[in-house]
Amino acid sequence: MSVVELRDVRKAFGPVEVVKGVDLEIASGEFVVFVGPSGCGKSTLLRIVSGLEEITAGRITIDGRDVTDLPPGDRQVAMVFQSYALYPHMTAHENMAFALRMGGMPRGEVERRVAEAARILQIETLLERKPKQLSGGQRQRVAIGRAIVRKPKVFLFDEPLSNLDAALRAQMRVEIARLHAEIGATMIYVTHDQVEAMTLADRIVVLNHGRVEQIGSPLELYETPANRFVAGFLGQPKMNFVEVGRALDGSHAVSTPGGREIDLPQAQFDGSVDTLVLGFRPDSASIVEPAHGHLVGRVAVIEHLGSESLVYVAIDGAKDLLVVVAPGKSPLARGDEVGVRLSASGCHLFEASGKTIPKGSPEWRSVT
Amino acid sequence: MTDAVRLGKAAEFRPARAALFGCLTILATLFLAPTFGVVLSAFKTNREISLGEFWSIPATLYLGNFGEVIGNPAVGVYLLNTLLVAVPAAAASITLGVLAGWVFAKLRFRGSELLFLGVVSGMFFPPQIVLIPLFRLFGSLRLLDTLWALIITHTAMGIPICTLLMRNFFATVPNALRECALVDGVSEWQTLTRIALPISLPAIAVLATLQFTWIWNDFLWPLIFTQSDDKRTIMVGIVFLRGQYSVAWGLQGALSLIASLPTLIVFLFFQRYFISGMTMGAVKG
Repeated sequence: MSVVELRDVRKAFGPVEVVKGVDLEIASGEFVVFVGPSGCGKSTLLRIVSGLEEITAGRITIDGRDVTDLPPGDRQVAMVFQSYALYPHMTAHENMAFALRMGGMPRGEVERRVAEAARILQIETLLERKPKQLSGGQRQRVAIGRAIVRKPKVFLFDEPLSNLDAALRAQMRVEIARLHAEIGATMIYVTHDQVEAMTLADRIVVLNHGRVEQIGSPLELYETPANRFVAGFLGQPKMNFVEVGRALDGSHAVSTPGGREIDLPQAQFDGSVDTLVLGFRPDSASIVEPAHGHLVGRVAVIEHLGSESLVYVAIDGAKDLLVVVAPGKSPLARGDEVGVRLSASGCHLFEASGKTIPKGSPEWRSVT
Repeated sequence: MTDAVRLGKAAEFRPARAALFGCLTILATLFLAPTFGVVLSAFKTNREISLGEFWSIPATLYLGNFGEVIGNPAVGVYLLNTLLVAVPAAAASITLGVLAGWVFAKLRFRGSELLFLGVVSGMFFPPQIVLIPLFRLFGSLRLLDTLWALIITHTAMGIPICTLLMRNFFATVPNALRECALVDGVSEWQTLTRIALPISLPAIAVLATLQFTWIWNDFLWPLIFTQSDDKRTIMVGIVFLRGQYSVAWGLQGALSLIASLPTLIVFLFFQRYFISGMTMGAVKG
């Protein structure tokens, strides 16, 4: 059963529409991540669910109840803010108990809930501290605790880890995943960090310019992106894109900027498709001798990460550097001429408009 | 620029700086001289003052002026009246300023900026402009020669500055605090009184000190709105504390010093709240 339902939700600030008709169903216990670049409307969408932003059109239901016109406090949601938003004059304990006390909950029940949340988050020893005596990670835990004690229908996280340093962020990411597994609550999580999205989500909602680009499980989105935007947004390092032309002989091959051809067996393009964009992930290509590559260029930069190296190759006729994953002890040096060899199965094709040409479609049948 | 260079520059003689320093010294002297004169005369006998020894150091530390002032029952009435005006008027103007400031900072509505400017522009009218209309108004309400006229006037005159200061302070309270409370089902009133006000104590302390001092030291309104001796406030009282044919410099000096004590006490009391950083730890940092 779906806990949260959005039906054609729109939001405009003055003449500017920032959410342009979003339909979404979120199932009970699901962990859904809204992801997208800055200004894509993901935070606004979360605030719409919380009730902090009123919508211009559409309906929102939570647990079967239409909450479109209800104030935030009546929606049974709890929100964890990017800035933590802890009440600075209250201790961690008071922060967590505050809303319950204001709601008139008996003291015993309040204490029981705070104690339970503190146990789950392992902050029992910090309860008497004020926010300024807590580290960033500890503050974030208290903020999450403040949400847990309310036992909401839906947890809303607004970029909760973006103020933490990299190491702490990785740790908190694991803890949030653990928390979700432990309490099994429905969670909506907003981030611009695609690693957080990939690791935490049951389903990812990719937003761009106020529209949903694609909804699906992390691997679905990674392997079968609906368009070039999704393909480029998910994955680290990003997918490479090269403009290619169709081979003149009408075969299944496409020609690369260097004039070489990649044979994509059984690919069939209809007459309307002229300019194509070929996408491939850095780990699905390999560096080879120039003579054997589908693409030829010179090494511009090498980043040694230890277990692997990222080789940035400048291709004649292509605007951006291509990234290819090479073994950690790569003997390559800046300026070397290299070839980049692609595997047909690792290739994605997009129309000039950005739309994916599906692999199973008549245009491109089972490339394997 | 290296530290050495910067230090070298700082040690240079700068004429503009010296001139500024000189001006400030002269201004400070002019400003403090009357206070110094009052302190000197408070400890002198009338005879000493009559001899023209106004700026001299007192020959003996004469405390008779203080004794006489404290022994005068009218002084007690003056002090009590002033307190009865200053405390409620300061409290009322701050309360209204807090409420209006919260609305203007956090609950904006169409036209609220304009309304805010309207309220704040009240600060720019000199009291003399409204003096006669107010006098006639209080006359028709039969409030002349009562403390109510003073309380009402001071409350109204204090609203603009209180609204301005509180609105500007509330603007620095992170929106996320209020939004978090709203999502948690906490009412707007509880958000204001339990979250915003406790972290606004520094601003309220500044306001309380300003308002109390301003009302306590006010001379114009009580002079115009009160007539009988038992309705006078302390500042008017000082002026009326004079001999029939002579000015009682010593007594007035002593009473002036006593009259300035409450504002000093208020300042010292609120001083501990004059600290910044109360909002530290609320958000990232």
